[in-house]
Amino acid sequence: MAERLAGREVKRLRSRRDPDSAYPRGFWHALGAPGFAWFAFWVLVPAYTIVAVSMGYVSDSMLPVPEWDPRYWNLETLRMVLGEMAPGGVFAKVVTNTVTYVAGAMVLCVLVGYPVAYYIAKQAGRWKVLLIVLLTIPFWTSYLMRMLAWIGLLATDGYVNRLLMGVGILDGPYGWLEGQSFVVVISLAYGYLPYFILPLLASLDRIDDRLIDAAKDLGLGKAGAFFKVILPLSKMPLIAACTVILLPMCGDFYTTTLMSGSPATAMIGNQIQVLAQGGPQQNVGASLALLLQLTLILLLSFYLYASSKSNKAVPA
Amino acid sequence: MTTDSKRKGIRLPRPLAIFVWAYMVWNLLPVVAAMAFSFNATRSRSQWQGFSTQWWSGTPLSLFDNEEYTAALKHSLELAAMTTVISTVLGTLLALVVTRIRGVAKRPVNFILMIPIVTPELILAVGLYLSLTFITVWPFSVVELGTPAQVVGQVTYTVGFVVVIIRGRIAVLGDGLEAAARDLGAGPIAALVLVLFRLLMPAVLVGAMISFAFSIDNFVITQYLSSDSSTVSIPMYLYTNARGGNTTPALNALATVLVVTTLLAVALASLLYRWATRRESVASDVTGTVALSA
Amino acid sequence: MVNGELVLEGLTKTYGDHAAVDRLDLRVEAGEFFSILGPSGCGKSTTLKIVGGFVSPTSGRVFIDGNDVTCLPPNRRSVNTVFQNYALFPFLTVRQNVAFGLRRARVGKRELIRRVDEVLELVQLSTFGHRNPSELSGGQQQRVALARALVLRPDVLLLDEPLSALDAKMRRQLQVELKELHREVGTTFVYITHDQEEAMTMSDRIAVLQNGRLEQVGAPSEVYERPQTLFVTQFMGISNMLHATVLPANAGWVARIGDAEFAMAGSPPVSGTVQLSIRPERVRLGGAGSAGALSGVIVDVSYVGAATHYRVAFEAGMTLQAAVPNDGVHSVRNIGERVSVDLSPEDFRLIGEQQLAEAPANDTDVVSVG
Repeated sequence: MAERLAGREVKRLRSRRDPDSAYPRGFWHALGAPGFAWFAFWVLVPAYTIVAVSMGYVSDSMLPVPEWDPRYWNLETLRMVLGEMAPGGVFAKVVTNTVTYVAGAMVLCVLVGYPVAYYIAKQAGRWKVLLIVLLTIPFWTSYLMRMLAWIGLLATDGYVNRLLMGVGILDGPYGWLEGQSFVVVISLAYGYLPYFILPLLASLDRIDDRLIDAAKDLGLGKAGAFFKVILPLSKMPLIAACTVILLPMCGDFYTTTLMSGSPATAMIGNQIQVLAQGGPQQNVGASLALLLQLTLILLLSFYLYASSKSNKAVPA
Repeated sequence: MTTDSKRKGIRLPRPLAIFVWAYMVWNLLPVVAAMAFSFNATRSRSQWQGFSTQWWSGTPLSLFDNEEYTAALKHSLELAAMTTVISTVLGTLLALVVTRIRGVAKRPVNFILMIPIVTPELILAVGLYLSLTFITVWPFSVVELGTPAQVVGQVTYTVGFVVVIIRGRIAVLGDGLEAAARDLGAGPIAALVLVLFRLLMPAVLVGAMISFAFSIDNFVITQYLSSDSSTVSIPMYLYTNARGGNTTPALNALATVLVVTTLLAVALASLLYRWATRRESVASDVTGTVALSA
Repeated sequence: MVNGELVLEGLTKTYGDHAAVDRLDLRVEAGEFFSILGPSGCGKSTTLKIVGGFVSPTSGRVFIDGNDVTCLPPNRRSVNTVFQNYALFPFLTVRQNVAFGLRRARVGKRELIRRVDEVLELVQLSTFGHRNPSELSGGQQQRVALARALVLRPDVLLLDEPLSALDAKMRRQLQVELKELHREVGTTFVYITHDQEEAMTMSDRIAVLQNGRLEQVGAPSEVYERPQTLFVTQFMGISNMLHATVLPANAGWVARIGDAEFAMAGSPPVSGTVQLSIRPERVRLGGAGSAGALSGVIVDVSYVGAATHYRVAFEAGMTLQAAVPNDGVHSVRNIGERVSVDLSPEDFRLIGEQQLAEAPANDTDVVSVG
């Protein structure tokens, strides 16, 4: 049944075979080519375009021109943008806003999200499945819809004002949606909490219950077991969950637009969104986007470094 | 009933439990309320004044009778259909390839696939917008702002997630069943189609549903790459009109459609996944550690 | 004419600096039940993957009935494999699984039905055709995997530790069934295993592999009784290892172990000391008074059913393991009892001198890894 092969065919087949698999050489690369091309065109080239526009110049007709050749890159715009981020500069306000709002929302996420994730992972018992489903629903609900829902409740004649006036906390309607920083912070936390809790819950769930039993067995109380076992093991999952929400929060512009609408609470996202979409300041918008992305890459590599270190510290 | 469970039954819930349930209410109630307001009797979106379905259909301002709303609905569905097809096909191929290729290409390829997942959508959108406006060679010259650009952007954003889902499934399957197919006389393509794709179908379905949900919900990229009023999607319409004083509860009806569609897609995905893998109780651990996965 | 002669010629597979298979030469006769035996990592799986066509060798060739198949993909070789965990397609029924290969070969419908029926009967699964694989027991799944491979009438059937996932009792039963099946179909079986007992029970011949290299090939009795290397000696069941001093003699030579001397046949080894091995069942125990060559004390007794294993310690720190059948003739002894030990020179195996460097520190009763 086996075919008799002439020496030439053997040679041909040998060169066509991938030595470590049953597939011809290059089979997988050919299959992946469309996907690779897609990513090259729509991820790598756009990333380079941001750099090129940021390092480009403005023509005589006041239009930005990208500079594709790295030899002629012009750092003027970047330098200007960095200068304007310093106190007193045009971008000082959006930078402070972004940093404080994101930090504030992150603190709220940890304060609210960690207890929720911990309870569902370790103590919810028969309610666990239901609670996880309830958590998944907002995860898959449009972010804008969830903001829209609060706009109705926080309106001047909305139920929040009516309730607070009813119990006597407020004398007249409060302008929740009129440029209040704390409303933006709470809204960010509200918006991103589902994305924070789910990954955290998944990692906390993986902590072996026997570790807790062992801690109790060794004489630590319930609280002791929590502080000596669960909390140290939660550190990396918490950092991971914070990273998950940090990235989209830094590019957020819609939350503050919807929940405040005031330029006083604008974030860096608002600035990028407006500037990059056209006009003579496109290179400024591109520079802001570039600086934001570089900052995030820095933070992300710090996270990757920390997690690889902690993986080494705890052998599987 | 045992005494133990009786004691549990009357025990006061602990503070942590109250906190968690309070979070759930805080999290979900506003959305339910907003959906309920789509049935309000008056045009108020903040005060309940009785039940009616007028904002859904029947008047020129109703969701299903107003050109603006139906155009947004239609555009969102169109975008979702195209995005789902393209990102599922590309994502499946890429997931296969990144699990099978070896050597120097592996690391950079995995790295590039992760870029859209770890980049804020706004920056992806700005990059695409700038490259589409400044570059005049193919393929940038043929993708115009509006529907084509929106599809390109959405696919770029979702395909990474599809890859992650399908790659997970491939890792569970190993390559033992494919090897068995080759051993029994199937060529490379036949083994791929008859065995691997068949086994990947559940994950591909989930990937498709998730790209659908992402596409329908997508706002930042879709808005940034839109052209004119003909390329307004549901989330874009919500964004523009959420604070508007003239908007009616029909906007809430539109948002309700968005939420229900997404949740249905996700629920359908999980049901289909269970159905398609129902025979694998034994087979999954058989295939997990098959001989030829070295 | 019987097909299925498999020849491996200088087969080598390297991954980086590591040679998984190292210049392997093997000839498997047509119709033979041939086992490749070795510990994990010895290269037996890589060899099987090369024969199956899933991996190409770095150098060397694979011939089936004289045809070079080294470069053929798996689907173009008349070799089929029974995978370790069966690799049954979960989305196909038993019948569809068995018919999979026939469909790929575009066998006509009537012929296909006939052959599937035939092979299902052969493995006694005729009534299970419409079940899903997940509804079958491990042993039944294993038989489906067999049927699926055999239905294609391969020249060579590869079996990759097909019984390792089963419990001991089921394994025994299937060993017998496999042997019968082999007699019935007459195909060449190449059986991969790390279990020396399984290999000996079933095979016509065994090849022992270690570190990618062939240690010894031969019939089970040959490999067990006349191991040529230290590794084979230790791998094929329990063996006692003894250091002996070489003394000259008129005919042959004399091996001196402790105070005892044994007249050995053959030409004397070059070196002054050698290692000798002897199987525990060849170590005979006498009473304290009897005239044995060596005298020692029983330090451990383990009852293993058909036999009792004694560990006997001698003055020089040497210990020996003896297996005494529980046949009612031999009396049972206790720890601390003084015994004489009787050894026959013809039961000693001289371990190849080049192997001595690899001898482990504890040189007695090394139990096979397995």
